Amino acid sequence: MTSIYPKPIKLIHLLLSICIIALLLPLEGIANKNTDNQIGTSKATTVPSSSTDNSLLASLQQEVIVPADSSSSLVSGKNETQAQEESKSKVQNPHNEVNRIVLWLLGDNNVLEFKSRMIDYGNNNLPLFLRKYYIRLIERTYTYPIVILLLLLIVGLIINITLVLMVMYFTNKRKNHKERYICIYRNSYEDVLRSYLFGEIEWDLALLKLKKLKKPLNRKILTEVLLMFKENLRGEMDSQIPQIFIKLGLEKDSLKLTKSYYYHRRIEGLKALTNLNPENAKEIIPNYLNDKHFLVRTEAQVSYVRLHPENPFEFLKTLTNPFPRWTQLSSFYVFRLYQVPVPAFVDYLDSEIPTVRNFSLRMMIFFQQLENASAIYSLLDSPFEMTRFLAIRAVNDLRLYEGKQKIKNMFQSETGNNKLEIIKTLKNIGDAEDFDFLESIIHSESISLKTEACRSLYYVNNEGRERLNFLSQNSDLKIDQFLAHVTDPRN
Amino acid sequence: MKRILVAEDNKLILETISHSLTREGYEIIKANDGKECLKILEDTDVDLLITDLYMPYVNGNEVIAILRDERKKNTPILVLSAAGAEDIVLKAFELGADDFMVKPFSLVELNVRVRKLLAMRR
Repeated sequence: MTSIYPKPIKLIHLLLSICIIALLLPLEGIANKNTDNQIGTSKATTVPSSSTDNSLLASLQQEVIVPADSSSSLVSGKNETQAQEESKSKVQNPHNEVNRIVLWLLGDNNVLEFKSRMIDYGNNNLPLFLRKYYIRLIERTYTYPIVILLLLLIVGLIINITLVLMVMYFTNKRKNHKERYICIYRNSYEDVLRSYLFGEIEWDLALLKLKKLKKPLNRKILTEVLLMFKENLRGEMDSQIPQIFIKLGLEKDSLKLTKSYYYHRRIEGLKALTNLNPENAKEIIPNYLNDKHFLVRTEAQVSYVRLHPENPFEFLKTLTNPFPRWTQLSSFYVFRLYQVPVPAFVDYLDSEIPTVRNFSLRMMIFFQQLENASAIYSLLDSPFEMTRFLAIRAVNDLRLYEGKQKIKNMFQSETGNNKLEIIKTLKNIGDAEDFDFLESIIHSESISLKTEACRSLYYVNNEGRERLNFLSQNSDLKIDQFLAHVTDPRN
Repeated sequence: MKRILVAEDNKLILETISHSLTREGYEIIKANDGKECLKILEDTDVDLLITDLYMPYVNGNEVIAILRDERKKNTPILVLSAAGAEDIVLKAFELGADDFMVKPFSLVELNVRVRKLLAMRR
C-alpha cells in the first residue's frame, strides 16, 4: 500500500521525530542540576538529594496515596514545620503543583507501573545498542515536569503541521506551475507545427518559433504533440511528422528513454519510436519482447505486430512469459486497426506456453482457418481445461465433423463447462447417430446439461424433434418444461 | 459563408479541423464537449455538425439523437471517432448520422466529405 504523503513530507516527519528526541537528550545535564523539578514518583526509587526533595516527596506521597482524605491528612499528619517547608517549595516550583495534580489524577502506582513496563519492554524487545538510549529517554520523560513535555509535544506538533502544510503548498504550487508551463508550450508547439504542416511557414521559421527546445521537458512536450498528430492524422501530413521528429533529434531522447531503469519511461520511448521512427524501433523492439516488466512486454509486443505486417505474430515463438489476455486484445486491436494481413495461426499451436496456444485457437476460430484442422484435434488431449474448451469450440465453429467422435469419447471425463460445449457442438455437427448419446444426457441429473441436450436434439433435425416428442410422451422424464424452454424464442 | 459546428474534446484535433476548414472558406464554431455543442445548437443555426463520439458530459450519440428529435432534423451530421467497430458505426447511422470517419483520418478526405454533405443539404 502506498503512503498518501509525498516523500518530502515523510522525510520531514522522520527528521522532526529525531529533533524531538535530540531536544530531550541534551536536557540531561540541566536535569541533574534542577532536581527540584523532578516528579516525586520517579524519585521514589532513588535517594533524595536535598531537604526540599524530602519534603516534596513526603507531601506528594501523602497526597497521592490518599487523595480522598488529603485535607484531613494535611491537618492531622503534618507538623507546622513540614507545612511551612511544603508551602515554600510550592512557591519555588509551580510545576510541582501540576505534577501533583497529574499524579493525583492518575495515581502514582499506575505511573510507576507504566514506567517499569516501558523499561521491561525495552529490555526484552529492543536491540542492545538502542536499549541504553531508550531507558535514558524513559528516565528523562519521568524526570521533567509533564507540562514541559506536553509543551514540547505541542510545539513539535505545530512545527510538524506547519512544515507539512508548507511542503504541500510549495509542491502544489510547483505542480501548477509545471502544468501551466506544459500547457503554454504545448499550445505554442501545436500552433507552429500546424502552420508548418499546412505549408503556411517554412521549416527555418518553424524552427525559430519552436522555443526552448534544448530543455528536456520541452523536447518531451514536442514529442507528445508529434505523437498526437501522428495518431490522429493520415495522408500527406502523416509522412511529414516523422521527418520533424528525426530533424529535431528527438529520436535520440526516445532511444535514451528505452534504456531507462523505470518501466514507464521505457514504454514512453518505445511508443514514440514505434509511431515516429519505425525503422529504428524495428531494431530495438525484439530486445523488449521478454522484458521483466509486463507492461513493457505488452507495449513491445503490440509494437511488433504493428511494425511487422509480413509476419505480425512471429514473436510468439520466442516468448518466454505468458501471453496475457490484455496483450492478446491489444495485439488483436492493432492488428485489425492497421489491417495487417492475417497469418496462419496454426504455426503457434505447438507453443510451450498455454496462453499462446489458446490465443492461436481463438484466432483460428475467428478467421475460420480450416486448413490445418488436424492440429486442433491434438489439442483436445491438452491437460489444460481452457485449451480443451477452445479446441471443442473450434470443432464446433469450424464444423470439423472428423472431431465429433473424439469429443463424444471425452465427454464423461470432462468438466461441466466442457461438457456443455460438447453438447452445443452436437447441435451443429450432430446427426441421427448422436441421438442415443444426447438421450443418455437427458436421462442425467444435471439440469443445465439436460436443457442443452434437449436443445441440441431439437435443433439437429426433424428426426431429433420427433425423438424428443416420443420421449416426452413415452417416458417419465418430464421434459415438457425443458422443451418449452428451448423452443421459446426469447432463449 | 457556410457555418460548421465542430464538437471535439481533443483540443489538437479541434484546432486542426477548424484550421483546415477555415482555409476552405467555412465559418467554424468550436465546442469542447457535448453540453457546449447542444447549447450552441440551441442558439445558432449551423449547416453541418462534425462531432466526436466520446466526449464529456454528453456523448456524440446523445447529441445526434437530440438533434434528430428536435427541430433541426435536416442538419447533416458527420461523426469522427477513433472507435470504428461495426456496431458503433451502425448505431451512429441508426441515430441519424449522415457520415462516419474513423481516426486517424485524412484532412483532404474530411474536406471532400464536408463539401459533399453540404451540397446534399442544398
